[in-house]
Amino acid sequence: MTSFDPYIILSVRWGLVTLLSLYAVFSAVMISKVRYLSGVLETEVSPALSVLVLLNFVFSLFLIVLTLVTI
Amino acid sequence: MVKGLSAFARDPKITFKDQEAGENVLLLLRRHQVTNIWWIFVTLVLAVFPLFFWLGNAPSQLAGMPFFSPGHLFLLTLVWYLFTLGFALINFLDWFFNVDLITDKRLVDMDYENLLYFRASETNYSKLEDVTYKVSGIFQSIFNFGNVEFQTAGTEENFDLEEVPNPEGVHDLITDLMAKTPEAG
Repeated sequence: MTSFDPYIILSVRWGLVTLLSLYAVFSAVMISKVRYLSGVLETEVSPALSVLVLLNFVFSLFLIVLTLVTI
Repeated sequence: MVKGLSAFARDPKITFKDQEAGENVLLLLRRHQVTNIWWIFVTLVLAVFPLFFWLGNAPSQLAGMPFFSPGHLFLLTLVWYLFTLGFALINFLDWFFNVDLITDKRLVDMDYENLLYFRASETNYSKLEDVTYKVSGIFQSIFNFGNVEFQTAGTEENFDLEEVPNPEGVHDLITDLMAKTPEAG
């Protein structure tokens, strides 16, 4: 493990963080879109859907932190 | 099934933007649930795949290699599930918000194609000239779903309800509403 090229470790670390950050942005767009569409069409499922996309966003943030801690 | 997830809901308990006072939604339509099978199947395959990886001997084989500690593999598995969740969410939203509403006054078509595109259009029954429905193919015949197409008067855009359940019933309801509309030709 210690003999492994540190540049590769850094590449993987920041590559993964970049990927997850892009996903987090995508999730944030999804949250705003679902909020907007829940206003256009109000159904009994809309609140649960809003919570689900919020959890998706939180999960992506959690994995960014986990990546920075783990790798 | 949760009523809010129905593809064919009579008198649904919903409201929509720009709904007029006293306007009642008679029917809510989405694509038939069968059209969701492909992405549900892909999601299940994506969800099960890491289980085979973990239950097999792959982790022990990779353990000797640098950068493949159980902690790293677990992190990559979580990232995998995050993207799987995103894939399922995108496809679910695409189905859930692609809605057609038949009210007692007009027809409302909401098109959601992706996160950056949404369009809502509407037409009164008096502007509809011709309604046809089409059921084609094995799946549509077995599960009774298909397209309902509307020709509108003049330069107005034609409407198209795609892969909705019970197209014959939708056709009958629309023609009844057209007949009740005073300006119907």
